[in-house]
Amino acid sequence: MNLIFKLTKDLILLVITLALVAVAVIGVRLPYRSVFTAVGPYQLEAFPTGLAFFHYGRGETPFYNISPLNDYLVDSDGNRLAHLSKEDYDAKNFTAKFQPEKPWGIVDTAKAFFGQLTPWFKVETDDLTVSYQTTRFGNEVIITKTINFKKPQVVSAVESTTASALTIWYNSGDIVFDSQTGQAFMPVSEELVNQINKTYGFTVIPASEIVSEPLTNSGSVTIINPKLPGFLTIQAGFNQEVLINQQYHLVEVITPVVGRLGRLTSTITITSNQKRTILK
Amino acid sequence: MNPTIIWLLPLLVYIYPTLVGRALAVTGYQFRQRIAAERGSNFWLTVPFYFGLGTLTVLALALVSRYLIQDYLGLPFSQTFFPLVGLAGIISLLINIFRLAPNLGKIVKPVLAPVLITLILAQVTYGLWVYKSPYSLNWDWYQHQTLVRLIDKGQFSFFTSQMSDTFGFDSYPPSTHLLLAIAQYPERLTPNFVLEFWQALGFWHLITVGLAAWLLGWVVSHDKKVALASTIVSILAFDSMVSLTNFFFLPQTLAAVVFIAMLPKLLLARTSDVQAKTKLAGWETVTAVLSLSLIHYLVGIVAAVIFLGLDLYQRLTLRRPQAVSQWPLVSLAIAAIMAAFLASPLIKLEQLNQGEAANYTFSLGEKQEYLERSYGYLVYLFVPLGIAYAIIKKNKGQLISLFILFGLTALLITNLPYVLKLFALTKFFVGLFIALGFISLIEKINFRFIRAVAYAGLTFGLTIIFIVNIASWKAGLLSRDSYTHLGDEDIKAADFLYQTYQGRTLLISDPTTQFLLEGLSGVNSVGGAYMKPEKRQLLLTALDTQSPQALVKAARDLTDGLNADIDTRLLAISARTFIWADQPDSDRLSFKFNVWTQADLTIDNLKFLSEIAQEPSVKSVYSSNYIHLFEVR
Repeated sequence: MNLIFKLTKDLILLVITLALVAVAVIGVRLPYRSVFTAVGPYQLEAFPTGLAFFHYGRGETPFYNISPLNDYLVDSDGNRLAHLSKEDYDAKNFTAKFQPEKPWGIVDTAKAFFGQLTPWFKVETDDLTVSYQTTRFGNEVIITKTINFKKPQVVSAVESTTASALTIWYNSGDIVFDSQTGQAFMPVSEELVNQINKTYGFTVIPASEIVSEPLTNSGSVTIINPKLPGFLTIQAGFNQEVLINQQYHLVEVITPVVGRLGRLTSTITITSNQKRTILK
Repeated sequence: MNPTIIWLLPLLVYIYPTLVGRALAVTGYQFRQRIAAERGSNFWLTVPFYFGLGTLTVLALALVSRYLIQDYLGLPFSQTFFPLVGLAGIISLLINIFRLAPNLGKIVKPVLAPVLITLILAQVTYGLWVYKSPYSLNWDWYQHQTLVRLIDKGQFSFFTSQMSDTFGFDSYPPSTHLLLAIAQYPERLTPNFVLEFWQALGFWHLITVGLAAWLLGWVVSHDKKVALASTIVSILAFDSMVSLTNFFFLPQTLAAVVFIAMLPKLLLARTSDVQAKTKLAGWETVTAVLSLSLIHYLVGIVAAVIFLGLDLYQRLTLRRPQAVSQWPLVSLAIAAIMAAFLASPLIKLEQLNQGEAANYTFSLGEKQEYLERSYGYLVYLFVPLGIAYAIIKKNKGQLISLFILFGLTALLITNLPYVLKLFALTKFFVGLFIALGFISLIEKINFRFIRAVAYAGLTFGLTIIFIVNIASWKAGLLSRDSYTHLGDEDIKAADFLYQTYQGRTLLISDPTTQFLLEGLSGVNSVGGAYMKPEKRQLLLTALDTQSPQALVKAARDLTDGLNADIDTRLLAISARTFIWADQPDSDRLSFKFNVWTQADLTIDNLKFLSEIAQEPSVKSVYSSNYIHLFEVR
C-alpha cells in the first residue's frame, strides 16, 4: 500500500514537472522568418502572397514570386481564371498559411532547421484551396501545386477547364531566354550578351524586339538579372509547355487538364546555380 | 599542424595561467599551509584563483617586457615576453610536479562524474550548435585575433586602441589576448589554423560554462541534483543576444565564468558548517578583484565589485555577527539599484564608441523577447519556485545568490547601453534558480527512475528550446547550404593575403570584408568593422559614383590612423562591398550593420571590376567570383 502511495505521489509530481516543462517549451519564440531553404545562391521562402526566390541580406533587390494571384485556370473559351482574384485579395476574402504556428510550429521549426521541412504556401478561398509544396534536391527544387475545389457548383463551373498554369513572376531588367537554344525573348545589348557568356557560360541570342507570348521549344527557360548573382532555370515536364507572358512578366508553365475536376496537381522544377568563372 | 593538437591547443588558455598561478601560490612563505589547504574540494575551489593569479602574472610579464625592457633597454617585446613566458611555464610545471596537492587521487575522484556529464552534454550541445556551421560563429573573434597577431609580432600595448584602429576605444584590457597569444605561440597563424583554433575554443569554453554552473549549484545546495540541473540549464539555455555566453569565448564571457567559478569559495568561506576549513585568503580576494577587472572592464568590474562587497560582508558578519544585520545592507543595495534604474535615462552613454553604444540599448519588450528565445517560459515558471525554495530553506548561499540575481536583474532592466552584456553573469543565477525550482518539484520523488525521467524531460525540453533558439539566431546566416559568416572564397582570399602580403601592407575595403580578412590573414586594414564614419564616407562616395578613378583615389587617400608606414595599398572589392554600398546611409555608416554572409559578384559588379582593372595605376593581383584584389600605386 505504502509502495503504491509512493508511486502515485511520484507520478503526480512527475506529471506536474513535465507539464510545466512542456508549457515552458511552448513559450519559446519562433524565428522571425518562416521556413526557408537555400537553392544554389538563391533562397526560397514563403511570404503572404506566395513563394519567392530571392537573395537574403542584400536589401531591396529583385525577387521571383510564385503566387495564386498570378496562377490561373483556362476554360474551354480560353478565359483565364486566377486562383485568387485581385478583388478577393483586396477584400481579404482568403486565408493564407505559410509559416509555423505554435505549438506544432515548434516541431516544424526544428524540422526545417535540420532540412526536413521546406517552404510551403497554402491559400484558401470560399471556392478552393491551393497549396504549394516544395522538395529540394541540392540546387534543384520541385514545386507541386495542388488545387482542391471545395463546392460542387464550383467544380461544375470550371468543368470546362482545359489547362492550369503555374507561373513565376520575373522583373523588368531580367534577361529571359530558352535554356537550350539561348534564344532570348527580349533585346539584349551585345555587352550584356558577352558578360553573360563570360560569367555563366550561356550563349544568349538577343531578340530584335519584345515578342509577345512566345513559347519555348525546349520547355526550359533561364532567367538572369545583372544585379543578382546566379540564374534560375525553370524546367517544365514532358506534358507541359512554357509560355512567356511579357505583359505581366510571367513565365507560365501550362499543364493540360484531362478528365473531371476535383483535384488538380501540377509540378515544375526550378534550378538555381552559379557557374563560377574567373575574370581575366 | 595535426587537427587533434589544434583542437587541444586552446586548453592552454586555461592550463598555462593556472599552472603559473598555483606555482606562485605554493611557493615561498607559508607554502606548506597553502598546499595543506588544498585538501578535498578546496583544491577545485582554489583553481579559479590560481587562474586569476596566473593571468595577472602574464599581464605583469607583458607590461614589464613592454614598458621597462623595451622602452628602457631597447629589447623588442617579442624577444623578451615569449621567452619569459616559456621560462615561467617550465618553472611552474616543475614546481607543480614537485609540490603536488596532497591526496591527489581523492581530489580527482569526486570531479570525474561532473566532468564526464559536462563533457557529454557539451559534446551534444556543441554538435547541434555547429550543425552546418563549419567555422566559429563568434563574430568578435576576428578583432580579438587581430590583437593576438599583433602581440605575436611584438606590438603590445596595455591600451588596445594604440595597437589597432579596429579598437575605437580601450574597451578591453589585453589580458585575454595575451593568454590567447601564448596558446597560439609559436604556430604560424594561417587562416585555417586560426579558424580551427577558435572553433575548438568555443567547445572548451562551453565546458567551462557547464563546470562553473555545476560548482555554483553544488556549493549553494551541497546537492548533486541541483548541480546537475544547474549545469543542464546553463549549457542548453543559450543567451543568444549580446552576452552570448555559451559558445563565444570573449573577455566578457571569460570574466563571467571565472567569477562564477570563484564565487563558491567565497560563499563557503567561514560561514559554512559543512566546509569549516574553507577560508578565503587575502591573496585570493586581491587576485579575484584584480584579475576580474583586468579581464573585462564592464562584466569583470561588476563581478569584482560583487565579489568584494560579498567578501566585506562576510568578514563583517564573522567579526560582529550581531552588529551587522542583513536588512540595512539589503535595503541599501535595493535603494542604490532603484536610484540607478531611475537615473539611467538621465545618463547619456549612447555616444560611447562613436555611437555604437546606442545599438546596445534595448527596450524592456526586446529584453523579454530575448529571454523567451533563450528559456521559453522556464524563467516565469521555475525561477519563482526556486526563489520560494531558497527562502523556505533559508540557505545562506542560496539567499546570497538570490540577492545577486535581483541586483543584476535590476541593472539589466535599466536602459543603459551594454547592460545586456551583464547577462553573461546573470545567466548562471537564472540557471541556478531554474534548477532549484525544478528540484523543489522533484526532491520528494522517491523512485530514482522517475526522477531520471524528470531530468530527461527537462533536458529534452531545453533541447527543443535550444534548437528553436539557434534556428532563430542563425536565420540570417544561411549562405548556400551553410550557416556561416565565411565562405570558401573568403578563406582562399585570406590565405592568398597571408602568403603574399604581410608587413607594411594596408588593406582597404568595406568594413565587413576588411574585418574578416584582417582577422584571418593578419594584413592590416583601415579600422576593420569599426572603420570610422569619415573613412566610410570617403569610400562610399567613390562607390556611389561608380567611377574607377574615384575609387582608386579613395584607396590612396585612406590611411590607418596608427600606422603610416605603408609600402603597399591593397584595394579589396568583394560582393559584400557592393551590398554594403547599396544600403541606406543609416546602415552603411553604422557600426551595427555588417554583411553577415558571403555573397557572389553579379554581372554588373564584374563589369565595374573589369573597369577598375584597366586603370593604369592599378594591378589586379587576385580575383574570384567573390572578391578581387588590386594593388594601388
